[in-house]
Amino acid sequence: MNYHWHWAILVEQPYLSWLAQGLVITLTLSALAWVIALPLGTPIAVSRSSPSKVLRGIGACYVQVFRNVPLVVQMFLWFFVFPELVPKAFGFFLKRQLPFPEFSMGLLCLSFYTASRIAETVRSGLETVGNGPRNAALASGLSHVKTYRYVLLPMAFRLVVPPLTSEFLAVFKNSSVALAIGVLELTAQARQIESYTFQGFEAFTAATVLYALISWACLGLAGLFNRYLSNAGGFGAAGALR
Amino acid sequence: MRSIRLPIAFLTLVAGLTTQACLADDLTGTLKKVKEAGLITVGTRESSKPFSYLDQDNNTVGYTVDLCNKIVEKIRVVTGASDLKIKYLTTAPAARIPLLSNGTIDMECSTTSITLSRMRQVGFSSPTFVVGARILTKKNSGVNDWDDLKGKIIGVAQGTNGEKSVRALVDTPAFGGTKVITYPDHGAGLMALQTDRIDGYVTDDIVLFGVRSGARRKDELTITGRPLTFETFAIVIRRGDSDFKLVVDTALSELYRSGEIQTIYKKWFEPLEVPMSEANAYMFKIAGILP
Repeated sequence: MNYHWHWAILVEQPYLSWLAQGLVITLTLSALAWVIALPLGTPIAVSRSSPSKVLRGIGACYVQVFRNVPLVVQMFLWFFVFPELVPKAFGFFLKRQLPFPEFSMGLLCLSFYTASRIAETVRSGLETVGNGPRNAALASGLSHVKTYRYVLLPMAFRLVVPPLTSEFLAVFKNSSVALAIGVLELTAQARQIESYTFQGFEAFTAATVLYALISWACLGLAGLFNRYLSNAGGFGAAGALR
Repeated sequence: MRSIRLPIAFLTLVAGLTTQACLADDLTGTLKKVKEAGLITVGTRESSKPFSYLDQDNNTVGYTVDLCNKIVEKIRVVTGASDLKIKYLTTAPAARIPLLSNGTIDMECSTTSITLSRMRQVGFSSPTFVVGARILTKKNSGVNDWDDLKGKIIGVAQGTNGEKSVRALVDTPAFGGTKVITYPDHGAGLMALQTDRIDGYVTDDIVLFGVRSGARRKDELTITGRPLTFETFAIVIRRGDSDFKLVVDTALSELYRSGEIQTIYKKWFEPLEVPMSEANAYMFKIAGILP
């Protein structure tokens, strides 16, 4: 192996600030996508398990479309095709006046995609809860909305914290797909460093370590959250006692 | 007469063989490796037209590939391995350095440009081609040179020297309000230009000629502006292998000096209607170093 290692490249300017900027973009993009996707995915999960045939159909369509089309294709569709389909003035705004066009469209795309995955996870939770609590809630006079709000969703969410954690970690990794439309996130910056210096191993090692650190931090957060929600022990017990 | 000529010819032959044998004995680095293996592996691209690409019959061809074939002929002479075979290996840009480092490929023949920061990792041959960053724009856009892009939106290829130079240009006060957007590949840049997302797409002129020739509605596109930067392509070799570099540079220099380069240039660039730029004409004169 005739490779000239040069780890110092990672602390040299401008490469260090490229990595830092990439990290900030990755974190912002993923966190915002999650914040949008969770409230978007939950009603879709509800509609997929609702008694109304129309709502179930709408939910199923959403999930089929956004989960089955590859993410990178969705990125291209949002960024290049969507502005051509909307009325011309709005299209012009999206193309020329929208601040941070790549970031905004990438965020939209990642949120919609993640929402479809969250919807499926939450639906599996709702199905696990089963019809017993639903019938009991309806029989005791709660409306459908209240049944979901006070009975089904709280039970379902408690069940799906572990799979939701996986989705949460996946958002950070999926955000790298946004480099296809020019978002300079962590992977894109690592590629850029490789292309400028040919020190690819160092650059991608740095990116790998940063992704791993993000994942571990998220796992820690999710673990705390899980204990907080848990019925047995953890913060849950203290909460229950109160 | 015949009796005199024969011994001279014989002596010359012996002398030639001895020199070559001597050389072969102290071969080092890549020269030694390829002679022992009887094979030299050349890293190429899948679609860097017209420099290095796969044609319709899946043969590796192109301008840089032709230069590399000439270099390999030279290597055969220098090492005395007349049956040295060439293997082309299509190499993605991100894989070229690892493959060169671990010896999978011995030289990379595509469109890699020489930069000082890359020289810490690899070695470069003499320049093989000079490019300049220019503007691809729509004919009706009214953009004829850099000044016409003031206050407009400029698209650039991500990670190129063109990007650096455009950013430096836009940072000058005269260009206040001008926006720069980067695109990871030329397809995206072309699409952005054709859908009026940007007013001009900037990257190396030769790439722009290729992008335009592959575009739909190419008649509405034009390449304009004086070159903002100069960048030189070269063949990538392992760093610190000076014997190999000498052979490569000698082969290139002989090509440039003999004028054979003109034929190769015409073969690849005439179909694209790219005239030989002034910069290239001078480069061939300068890099055609005397023996």
